[in-house]
Amino acid sequence: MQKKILLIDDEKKFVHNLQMSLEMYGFEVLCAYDGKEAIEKFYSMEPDLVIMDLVMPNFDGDKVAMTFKKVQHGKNVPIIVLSALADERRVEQSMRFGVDAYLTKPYDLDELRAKIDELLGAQES
Amino acid sequence: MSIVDKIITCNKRMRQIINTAQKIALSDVNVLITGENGVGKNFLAGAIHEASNRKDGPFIALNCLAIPENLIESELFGYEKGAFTDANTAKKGNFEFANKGSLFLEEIGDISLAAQGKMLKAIEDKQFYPLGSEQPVHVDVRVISATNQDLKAAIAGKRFREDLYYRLKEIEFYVPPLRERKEDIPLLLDHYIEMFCIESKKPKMQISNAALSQLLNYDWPGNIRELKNSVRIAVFLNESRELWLENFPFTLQMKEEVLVEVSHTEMNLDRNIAKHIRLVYKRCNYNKTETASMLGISRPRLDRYLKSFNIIVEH
Repeated sequence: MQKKILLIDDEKKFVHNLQMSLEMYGFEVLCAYDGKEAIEKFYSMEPDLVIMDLVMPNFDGDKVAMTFKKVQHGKNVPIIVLSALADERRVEQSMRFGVDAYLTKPYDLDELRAKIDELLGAQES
Repeated sequence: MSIVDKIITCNKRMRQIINTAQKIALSDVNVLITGENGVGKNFLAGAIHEASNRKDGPFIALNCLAIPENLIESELFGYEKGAFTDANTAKKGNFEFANKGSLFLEEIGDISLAAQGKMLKAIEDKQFYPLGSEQPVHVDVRVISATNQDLKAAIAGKRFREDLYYRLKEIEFYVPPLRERKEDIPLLLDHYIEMFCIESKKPKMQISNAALSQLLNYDWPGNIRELKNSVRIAVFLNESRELWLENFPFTLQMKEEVLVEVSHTEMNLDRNIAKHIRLVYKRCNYNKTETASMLGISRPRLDRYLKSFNIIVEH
């Protein structure tokens, strides 16, 4: 079955480009451009995986990721953070909220793809 | 205004309720709203009225629990001048006030059986007789009622009329408690923080990560009403741009839970055994036989404990 990915970032162009790449890989891609919209889409569309930035309007990414991880209704949806913020403290903080992977921008599409496959594979097994 | 715009939620079950309510609002069916205290039953009732064709008519809300039993009938149906000793003037009842609109009856499970009978008749006949009147009053009212009680149990216990129950719940909406839709907590927090910052003329505050984490863990027994009141107090107490857990009124209670969670020494069994023995030993004035008996263990066993925990007589 086609897997659903929720892509969250306030940079529209970035979202658009990544959306096209992911759709070429065969994923269904939902997009959200701020924290509030992200929370709404996560719970109404029930994606299989989330790719998100940390800095965005209406709830920063930390709070969004924390909510996703704490309130799952019996599922465990993996989260990949894709952020320009690369300092260790930041990475550590996100990991504490339960984020599954932390990749930095500019991203490498192959690396991202491998991470997605790994996390979705782990989810199935 | 659509119901979707009035009710803050991203929960799937709530969305289904709202979608159905939006459609049903345009019909005239009577609605029963159930759910725990503080889940926002009155909000849904108001939103159904606003989304209905009756929106330009009155929305009359009556809390049945707040009205003494002997007054409920006159509150609902009114009375004629001279109907009873103090009835110097005639009074309209809420059924009449709600004509061409909606009558919202809160805590419907708490009205007397006598009033239930009259209410059933008024709903069925679309008319009623005010106390002391022989002239029927015709009304066009949609009844929305709400309760936190289990009306089926009330029916079984003969406290609620089954025929009225089915009249009132032509459709029923069960509003789930906040603990079953915790994903709404961030949205509700944001909404109420903004609302109370404006009310108290303070700059918009953000919730801290640590506070959000605890508020997501908390079960909110008082539901949205409790969250709203907590935010009001937190905003009032806070002077910085970020809201901390300490600003919330139930901080102490949560701190205790956190302590149990994080403090490893407090959870260590041996440490607690030693502490307990020390306490009992002291209370028994360091009499070993008495201490062993009080602890329900043998004297040699107590000796072993005293030795291994290095408990000595403290004078």
